[in-house]
Amino acid sequence: MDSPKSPTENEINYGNLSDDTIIDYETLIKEEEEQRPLVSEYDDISNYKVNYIDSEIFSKKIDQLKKTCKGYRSVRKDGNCFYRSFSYKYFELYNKNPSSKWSKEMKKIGENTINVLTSANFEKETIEDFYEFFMDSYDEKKFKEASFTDDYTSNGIVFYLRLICSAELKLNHEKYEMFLEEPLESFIAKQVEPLGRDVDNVQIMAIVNALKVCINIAYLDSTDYDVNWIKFGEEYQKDPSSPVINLLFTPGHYDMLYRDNE
Amino acid sequence: MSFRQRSTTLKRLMKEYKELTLNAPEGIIAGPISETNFFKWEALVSGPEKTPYEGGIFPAILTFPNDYPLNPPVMEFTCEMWHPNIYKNGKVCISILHAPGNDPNMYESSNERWSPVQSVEKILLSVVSMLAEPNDESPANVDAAKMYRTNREEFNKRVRKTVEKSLGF
Repeated sequence: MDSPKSPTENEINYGNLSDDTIIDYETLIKEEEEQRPLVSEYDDISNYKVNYIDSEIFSKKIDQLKKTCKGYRSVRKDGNCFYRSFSYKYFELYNKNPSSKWSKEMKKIGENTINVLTSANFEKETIEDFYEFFMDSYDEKKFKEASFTDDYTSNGIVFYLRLICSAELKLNHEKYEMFLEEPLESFIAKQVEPLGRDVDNVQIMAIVNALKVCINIAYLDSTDYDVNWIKFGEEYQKDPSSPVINLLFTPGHYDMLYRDNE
Repeated sequence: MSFRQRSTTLKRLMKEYKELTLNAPEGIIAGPISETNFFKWEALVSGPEKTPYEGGIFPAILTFPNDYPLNPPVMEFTCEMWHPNIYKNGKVCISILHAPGNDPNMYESSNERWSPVQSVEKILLSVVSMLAEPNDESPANVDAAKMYRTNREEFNKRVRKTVEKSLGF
């Protein structure tokens, strides 16, 4: 920094160097993460681990969770974790009892998404393959065999969910615009449609409203308070027995959570 | 690669090719190099008017990944280029071509990224805008960016030379 170069030159050189370092570091993390399964096997909640939260606070919070929750599944940390956790849990719940009233309603809403998407100006030809991936998961055999083990299919489903989110934001923009700090169109193009972009509450609200399901998220952070639960779409939980999609949030990441009554 | 993946990817590439042949945007031609390999395309981009690139016809290769359109293609000019956002080896570096999660400008979340609803056409149009308006904030060719900032006349001269070369003079 003490070279006689102009500040402009310093800026360029410094920027260039740090880009390379960032890319190297990112590639390393990405490669490591890609070795992990998209969705892990079910495991007991007491085995849930996060390495960057102070362990005392963390184990206290896991103890709290244990009172009402029995297990978890973790998903790959690639910026798609919310969509992947949500869709896995969504189809898992459906396939548990496809003939129930709730499941039938779920599938009807899912089937109709292609019409919603085309009415939001998505070209049918561009999206129909991904719609097929999504619909296939309502079949238990296909759900178990391919949906979340094959990267392409799983990412295709994640992409399709992003489009469902995008269409909901466009079609009912008046509900969401007040939460955004930028024009809706650019928010969608930058934060919703590209794979690998994390969610904010706005995207969660949109998914909940588009698919008419309730999501309950346990927030596990490093603060000294009790585990915080936040429900999205409580209005879609028509009676206490309707299924709810339970997720577990740790700073920057979503995994799936299983409560005792599941 | 599963059969399904291959069929989805190929179907999409064929559809994009068909559309580009029917309604090509002005100044852009693109298509597969051979009928047996839809994963490698050649593109010709004409330099936009009223820029130092005007009159040039720049050839490039687009290489599509096996999981297209979930991930974007790589675009490389095969002729000499002088531009802040094109690496010296010809590789184009603009935000729409950045694969999610493999993004050298992650701290710049303000740019549009690749998403499967984008297309080859949108990439090529972004490249034409990139030629018209270089972004010297995060340069791929630091020397070109420096020259663009500090000595525009010399920069333009250097570009004109690549234009002549692209035309075979």
